[in-house]
Amino acid sequence: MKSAPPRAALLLAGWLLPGGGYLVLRRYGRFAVSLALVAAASLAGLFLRGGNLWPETAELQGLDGVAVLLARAGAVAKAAAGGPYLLARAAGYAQGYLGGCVHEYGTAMLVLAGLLNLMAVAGAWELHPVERRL
Amino acid sequence: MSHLVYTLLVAILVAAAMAVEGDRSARDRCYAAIYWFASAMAFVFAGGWVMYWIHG
Repeated sequence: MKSAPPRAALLLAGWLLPGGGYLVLRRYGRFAVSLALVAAASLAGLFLRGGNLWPETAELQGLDGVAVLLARAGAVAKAAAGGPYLLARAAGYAQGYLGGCVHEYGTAMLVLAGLLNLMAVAGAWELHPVERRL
Repeated sequence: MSHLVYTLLVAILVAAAMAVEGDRSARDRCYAAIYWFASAMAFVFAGGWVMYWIHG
């Protein structure tokens, strides 16, 4: 019987490659669907010019605490998309916080991509053999 | 991109993602996807009417 892959591998693979946690667990169908969903949401977000940069302090001037918290949480959610996020940054795509507010369709789609990837990571975590024996 | 097309796109993505989760048969995944898509559209439709009544 093969030993279960470490959970850290699920997290790392799931972040670097959308649905990568499923790939580590050899759930190829779920991996393919998760990759397609996150890639589609990321591509739509990029084509719609969504914001992908961490909000600068100057851009958050005048906002209340909740709005600042939400702006930063949104940036974290976008980074959760992992591979597509890193690829876009490496390719030179950069849209600041204020630009992202103008192109809110794209920004919301980039946040959705990150959240879908988090769901995929959580799904792979639940399927981990050690977890399932409990 | 119009609001309706964007809403449909988001609803499809969310429905597919929800259907992938969990240990289910293919038929159950299909039902889950339909359920989530229909729920999302119903929620948007109801929310749209509520906003229309509030704002006119």
